[in-house]
Amino acid sequence: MVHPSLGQLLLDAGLVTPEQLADAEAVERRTGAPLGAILVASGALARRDLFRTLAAVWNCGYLDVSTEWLDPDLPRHDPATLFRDAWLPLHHDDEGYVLVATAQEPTPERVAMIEEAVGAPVCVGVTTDWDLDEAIQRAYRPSPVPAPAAPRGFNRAWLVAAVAVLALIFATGPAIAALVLLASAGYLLYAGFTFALCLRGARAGRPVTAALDERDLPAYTVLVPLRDEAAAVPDLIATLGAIDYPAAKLEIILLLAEDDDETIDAAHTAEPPPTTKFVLVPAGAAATEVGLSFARGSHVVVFGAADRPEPDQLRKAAAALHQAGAGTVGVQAALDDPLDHLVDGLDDLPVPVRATSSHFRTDALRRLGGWDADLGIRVAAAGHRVGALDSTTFQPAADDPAPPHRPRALFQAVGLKRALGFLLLTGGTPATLLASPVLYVVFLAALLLPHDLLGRVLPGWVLAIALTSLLVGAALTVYTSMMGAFRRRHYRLVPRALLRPLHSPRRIAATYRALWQSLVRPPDWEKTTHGRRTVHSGDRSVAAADLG
Amino acid sequence: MADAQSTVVTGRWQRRTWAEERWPRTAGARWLLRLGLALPFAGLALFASGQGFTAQTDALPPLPALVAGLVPGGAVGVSLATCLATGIVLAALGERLIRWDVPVRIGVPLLVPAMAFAGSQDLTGMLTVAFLALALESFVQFAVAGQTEGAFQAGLLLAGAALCTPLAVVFAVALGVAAPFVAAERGRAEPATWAVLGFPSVAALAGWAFLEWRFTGQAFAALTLDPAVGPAFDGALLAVVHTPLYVAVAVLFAVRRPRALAGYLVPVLGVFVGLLAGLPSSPVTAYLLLTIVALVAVPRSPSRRLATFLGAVALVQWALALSWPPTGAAYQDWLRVVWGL
Repeated sequence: MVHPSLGQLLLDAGLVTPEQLADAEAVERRTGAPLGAILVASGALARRDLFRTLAAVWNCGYLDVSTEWLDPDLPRHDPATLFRDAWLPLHHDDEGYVLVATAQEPTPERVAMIEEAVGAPVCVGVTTDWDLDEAIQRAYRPSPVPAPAAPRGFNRAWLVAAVAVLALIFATGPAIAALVLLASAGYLLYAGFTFALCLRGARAGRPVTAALDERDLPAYTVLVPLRDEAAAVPDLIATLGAIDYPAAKLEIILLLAEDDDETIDAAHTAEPPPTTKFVLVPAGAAATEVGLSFARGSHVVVFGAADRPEPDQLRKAAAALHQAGAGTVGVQAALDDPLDHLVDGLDDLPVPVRATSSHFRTDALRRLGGWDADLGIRVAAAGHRVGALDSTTFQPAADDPAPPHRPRALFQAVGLKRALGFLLLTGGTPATLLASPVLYVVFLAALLLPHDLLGRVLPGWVLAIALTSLLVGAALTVYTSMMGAFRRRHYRLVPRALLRPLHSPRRIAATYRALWQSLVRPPDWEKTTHGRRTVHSGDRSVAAADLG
Repeated sequence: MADAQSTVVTGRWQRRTWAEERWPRTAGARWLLRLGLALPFAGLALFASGQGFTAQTDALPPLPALVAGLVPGGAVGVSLATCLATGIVLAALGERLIRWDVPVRIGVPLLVPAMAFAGSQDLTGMLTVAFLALALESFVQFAVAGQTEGAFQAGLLLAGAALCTPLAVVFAVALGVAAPFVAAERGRAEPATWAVLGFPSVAALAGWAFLEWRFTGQAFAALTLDPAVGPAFDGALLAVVHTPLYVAVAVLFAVRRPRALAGYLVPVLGVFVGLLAGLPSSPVTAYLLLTIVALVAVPRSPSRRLATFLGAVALVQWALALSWPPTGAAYQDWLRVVWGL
């Protein structure tokens, strides 16, 4: 049987105008995206109208699953399979058939496949893909998991006393000298390591990728987890609206905590692009995990509420992954932290994978178990790699401590040398920040105290090593920042790297505060707060009111 | 009418990174070359030691002092370290000439006694010349060929030079000033370029000053600012007259790339300012600096005529250096003690 044309049916029903249809057909020829998706993405057609029309094209009935009853006694299926194949058994109808909702054409083969899975004759109705996703989530909502007992922190008074006792024990000349030498070695080692990585990245050159033709661009899912971010929503929606990617191939999913009414209201009020889907995340569930199960794109990326990716970042990531081959499962864009470009030099080391701005092949990411602190290790252990992307996501600075890693598992997974490099890269920053006050105190003492007085506490050679380490390490850190900004052509940020040492006290204080909190009240991590900033993508530079 | 096909193609050197263009290709072969080039100088150093000549090992700038402190064997060890540095410099120079299809015979002005002395005994001078010449080469890579990593390498090499002589800051400032005139790629923000080129040497110099002040009570004791313009000008002019090859390449720049001439002339300015500031320097160091700078600045793949011309000029300079050698107190001492001249 020959189906009537979808475009003609929509036109006949008065759902689109001839101009809208002509425009959409032009986009279809250019991008290869389905006509219906283009019309919905452009806002010319309501999603439900599209699927009602498709139901007519497919000679099926239309179902509004939001009003349908979901029978809990029906056999359970793997929700990931249901998402992927776009169908869901609802309940038995009056004639004993199992009523099944689907968002794809119910060809005889598909119906046979569904009947086999259900184990009974089925009656198929069409519904929208979004309604179907929501229904699957409703049917397979995870049962509330009781929160694990919060680990108890140390008693504050005991902790202060222990630190005081340790300070008294170590307040001897040799112990202080040993501490200073240790801090010097650590500081210099980390600064040298990051500098060497940066230099290596510079020698490797910037990754250059040819742009993909629009027809070859894959379907892309952008996940944005939001909790207590009502104030950030308007800017976020503007950012998402500025993403330069064919709308019909772009799926944006806002992952909203279901008890966060304020952010949900703000998201509705902000009128996001038509391709934006809201998903309510149940309490206790990981937002990115939920989002990944909803992702229909073949590529997926997470952006935070305050992230401002360069508009063409998705195109670049798609091109980079296309050219890199199957062994490269993802590419990471740089954050505007000047040290973040170090991933360029990590060719044979496991790359610490951030959740934000890391673009992945969706299937590979699902196989790897999704985003968490150990994803980089799992990628390396599986023999894959995550590459660097020549694009930047601007975001306000945050002082998050490095994610925890289990060293033993890490050594087993990727080997000693690579594990050490990984640990140095991820744990080096907080460790250096914790150790550097020792060197700053020595520096101030060298500036202010007479030579002989300081000499009673520290031997001259120890003082020379400490001061040299501090000066060399600080210079290397500043220059590493400069190199990063210069390579990425953020020229205005280069002179600002000179101010990096001035930020050290704030970063040191934040690190010690984090350490204190992890000791006395581990579950109460502070939520990162972001400042407001303006990104000018035209000259690829940043004008910011409160650069971190 | 059909358009003629473009005959402009991107040069191999513009398409490949440095890592892809290395010569010799393997690291092992490169180290063999460096050691091979260092060997004759090592022989000279051992011979000089046998004759009772000892290299200077006290009152050295930070980097030579660090090397002298790390290598065992006292003055002989320092001399051997100097030879190794010379091998590295000559290998880098040779790599550059071969990669750029420049006839190696143009390097004949380096086959002079002054080079034998500096390459086997003058650690500070050799390191200074090496860092400054290679920094200038990296700067050209950055400014003319548009290779970003060239700027980082130039900045870091200038920092190395700054730990041998404060004069490096003059080079850094001069290169920063020259960059906009030389730059192949427009749109680089000048402050960013200045920062990348100048920060490492300024930081190295500031660190040196601070440590010297902290441990000796005064900074830059070696600096004797004596603005005697006349002698400084004479010294710089003498260095230029001693190096016709440098002048010939300068003329080439003036004709072919007048903008880049600003960067090329920086070493002469450096020699002048160094003499003006009373920094330890000698005509031997100036001769080697200008000669090596001229060699790394010879245009890529010169025509047969140009190569012949430069070869002839190099031969003239070599004859000049033998008949009217650049000289200095330590060099004279070496000639007297080792060779009885």
